[in-house]
Amino acid sequence: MPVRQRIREQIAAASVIAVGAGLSAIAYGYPQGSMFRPGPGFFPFYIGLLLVLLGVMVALENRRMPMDDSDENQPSGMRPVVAISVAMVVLALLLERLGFVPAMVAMFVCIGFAERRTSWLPLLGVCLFMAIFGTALFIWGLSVPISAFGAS
Amino acid sequence: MSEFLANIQLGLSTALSAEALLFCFLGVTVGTVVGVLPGIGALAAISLALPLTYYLDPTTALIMLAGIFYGAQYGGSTASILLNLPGTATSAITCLDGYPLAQQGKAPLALFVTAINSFVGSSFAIVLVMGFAPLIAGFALKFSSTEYFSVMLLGLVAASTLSVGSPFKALAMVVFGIVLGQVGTDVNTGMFRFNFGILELADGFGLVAVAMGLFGVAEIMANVGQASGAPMGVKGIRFKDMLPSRSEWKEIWKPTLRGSVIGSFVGALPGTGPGIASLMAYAAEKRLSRDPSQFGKGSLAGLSAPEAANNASVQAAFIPTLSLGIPGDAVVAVLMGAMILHGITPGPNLINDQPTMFWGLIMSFWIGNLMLLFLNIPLIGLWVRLLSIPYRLLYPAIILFICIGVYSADNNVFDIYVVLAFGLIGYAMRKFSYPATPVLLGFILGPLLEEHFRRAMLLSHGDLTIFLQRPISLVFLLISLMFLGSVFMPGLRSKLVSRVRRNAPSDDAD
Amino acid sequence: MKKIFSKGLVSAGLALAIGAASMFASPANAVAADSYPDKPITIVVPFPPGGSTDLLARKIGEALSSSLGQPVVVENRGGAGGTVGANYVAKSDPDGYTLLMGVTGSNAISAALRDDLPYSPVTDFDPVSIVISSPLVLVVREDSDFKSVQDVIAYAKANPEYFTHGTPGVGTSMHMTGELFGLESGTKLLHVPYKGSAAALQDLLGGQINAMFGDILVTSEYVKSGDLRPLAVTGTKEHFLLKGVPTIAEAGIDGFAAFSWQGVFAPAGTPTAVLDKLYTAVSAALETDALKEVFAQRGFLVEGMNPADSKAFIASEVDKWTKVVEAAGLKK
Repeated sequence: MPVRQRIREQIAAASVIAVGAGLSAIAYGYPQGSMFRPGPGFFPFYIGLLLVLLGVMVALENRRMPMDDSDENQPSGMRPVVAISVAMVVLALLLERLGFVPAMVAMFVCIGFAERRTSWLPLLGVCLFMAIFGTALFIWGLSVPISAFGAS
Repeated sequence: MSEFLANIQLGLSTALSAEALLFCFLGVTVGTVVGVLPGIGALAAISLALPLTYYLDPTTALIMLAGIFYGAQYGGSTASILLNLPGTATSAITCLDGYPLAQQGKAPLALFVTAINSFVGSSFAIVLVMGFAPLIAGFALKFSSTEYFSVMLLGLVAASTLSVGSPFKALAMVVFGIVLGQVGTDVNTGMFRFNFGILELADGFGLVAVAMGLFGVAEIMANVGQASGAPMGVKGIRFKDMLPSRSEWKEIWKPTLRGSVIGSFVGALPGTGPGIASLMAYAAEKRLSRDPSQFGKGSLAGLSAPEAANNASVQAAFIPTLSLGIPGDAVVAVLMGAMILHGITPGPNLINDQPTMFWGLIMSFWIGNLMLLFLNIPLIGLWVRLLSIPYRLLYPAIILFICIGVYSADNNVFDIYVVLAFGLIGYAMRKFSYPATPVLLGFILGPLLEEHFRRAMLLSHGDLTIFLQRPISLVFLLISLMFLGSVFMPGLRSKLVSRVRRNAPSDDAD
Repeated sequence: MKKIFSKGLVSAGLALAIGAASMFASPANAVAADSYPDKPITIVVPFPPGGSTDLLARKIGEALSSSLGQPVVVENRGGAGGTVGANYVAKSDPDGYTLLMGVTGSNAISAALRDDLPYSPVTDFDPVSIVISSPLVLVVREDSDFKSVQDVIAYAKANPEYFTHGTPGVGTSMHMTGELFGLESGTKLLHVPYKGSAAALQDLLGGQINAMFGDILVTSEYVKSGDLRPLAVTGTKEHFLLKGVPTIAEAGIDGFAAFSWQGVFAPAGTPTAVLDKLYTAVSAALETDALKEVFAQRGFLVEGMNPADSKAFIASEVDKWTKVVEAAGLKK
């Protein structure tokens, strides 16, 4: 489906343009200064414009490119992306409240949902190993100020 | 000369004491481990280990902390080669050619070559530290913001030529990296820029969080659930598989030496670091190569030069530190803090006032690097065997390492969200084949470019011609220009030619 | 890409909101002062390990843990010139178990400089004690034509914005001291900010800038080696690491005094009895040999102010730097 693919490529290029335009717009609100004292808005304003320009070039290039590298652009399932994201958020939320071990167990449970068929038993093994190894490495070895169990 | 030999003897007597040997070994081992593990780098490890050294003799403490620093450079390439995840933020360049080699089943060879490169690069720079530290440091002092600006510009020009694929996407990603580097406190006015009212963003995004997100988390997100996610494993490693053939030796020795020279130069300049060194070395090698099209597909030259350069730069960073008291990069700055804690104030007198410490530390570099060589070669078998662990069991542990690693930088969970955000960005970039390496380089170099530009303007009262007036700056600007010319002219030409061909297929004239 | 980026930020923002909410929800437990401390105390250092604040906190922590009978843990929470760590302590429970090793930047200048600071150094903290102070020194290169403070003033008067001084960044005590110097001598110096004092020192040694208001300990090494020449110290009396160097007041700017300081702070609302207990322990710690050695080595002057004096001192410092910030037009 080259047409849909081309549209998605152009959405990506548009995002690049949007980031550049956003940067310039915000930077325009910062002081621009003079050549003697370039202000905080001076550099980002032009960098934003440059990114817009390059985004346009990419968009033009996309129009000319034959869309043949389809394996790269295969829409793949969002399942692992969502599961891993949730897992990291859960870890971050629990790390300082419940401690390292409960937080990482919760993280592993979320990661378990990244694939449709998860063999839970080996994952449990890795989880156990990391609970011991991680506690030894981070908390005892590198003295990262978190507790294995309980708030820090 | 006899004084020089006496100094070496003094250094050896310090570095060969049982205590020094033990802590040197401890340092390089910890360095290798944190280098291999994604997320925790030398900076975090040294910061975390620093309080433990309060009770050690200062020289011993420094030998150990320095060992962590250069040891991490050996380990950093391992995960880059095997898993396409940089073990430290600065070994992202190693992914470019190291991972393709591993995919071709040449992981043992790649790991062996990087160990050799690392050793050669380090040795080259240590010789410089021993013989010419004050001389080189004096030269580095001539670099004002004007010269730094031109060097950084050369770096950015080089960065945009690194990856294969669309040059516009690569350039756009360099600029996107610069954009990311804009977040944080403006050095010249102290204003918080683009931080959306979040105090944690006042120092900008952390380099480790950006690198681990774009490369580590994104790589994992893209691989999970894919049938052919993990690189092919290697069964039964024999020593023979590691050794390069005669023609491969030929391919690597020149890049290794060039990388060592470039790395030493960049490392000796305060305020740079191994990331910039390996970038410059890679870009130079790609320019000099007869067949640049091999770069990014598993070129041994593309693997060797940056690996030699990052180790050389780490050792050379001690040149300004020990002879001037000016830290060569962020990690050495922490080491200097350690010296001050132990009552030694680094300054121009250090070499004369503390000969035992200076020469002891230098000789420990030799010992440490030898240890690393003999530690890393047997470990190759172990690392490669890691690949036989199924990816679905490996990656949850890697994510955990990344999260706790970025957390430990400032003990702030905010950095976990940052690494996740960059993981999602990196994932999207991958889906649309926007290269990630240029983003990282833009992110490292962009803020330096702006800082030095604005300081040069301040000191010259707004005179733009200052960049042409100062000879060193002019030389670097000319090299940048040559680079641009040699990179974009042929590219542009072939592009135009192909367009002409497409529009008028009968016209073959070139 | 944009969409995903904002999604990342939203989830980050959400998580922050949850975090903040739970912090406010947890009750400010009233502590029985006589049982204090019955669990480990944390001293937050708002910088990475290896700096002078870290060293001081660890040495004080050691002394406190032996006199209070509970472990004292030092935690480094760096970021944004010390304000991230200070903000963390400002929002912590005022029970005496989370303390801050605060400095001039995090606990005074930042209030003068920034409207967007999420805490107030004056109302969000109960100081335990301002522990030490440390003057700065105005240094130039040994081969410079500037032999005295008067030379500097004369040159700067004749050439406004041409006398350059490097600092570790906007809002640092080195920067503010330079602004105060300009203000009180009626001159306009050119402020050249760097990222950290080492980079500024590098440019001073390389001759790219004229001068620096530098840290006494670090610069005294270069004075000894003959690379730098001290013109004056910014304190009110001669400093023991730089014998024979006049103060700026003696050298011609009447009443000039500026120095950086460090102190132990508790979140506002900490019971007075707890503050007193901590203060007693801190002042005893200052008398120990371990601390005295650190002070002599680092060039620190002992202050050891009590909580009431410290509170008044902070207010006066915020006031002083606010005036400088306004006069120099630096307000963000």
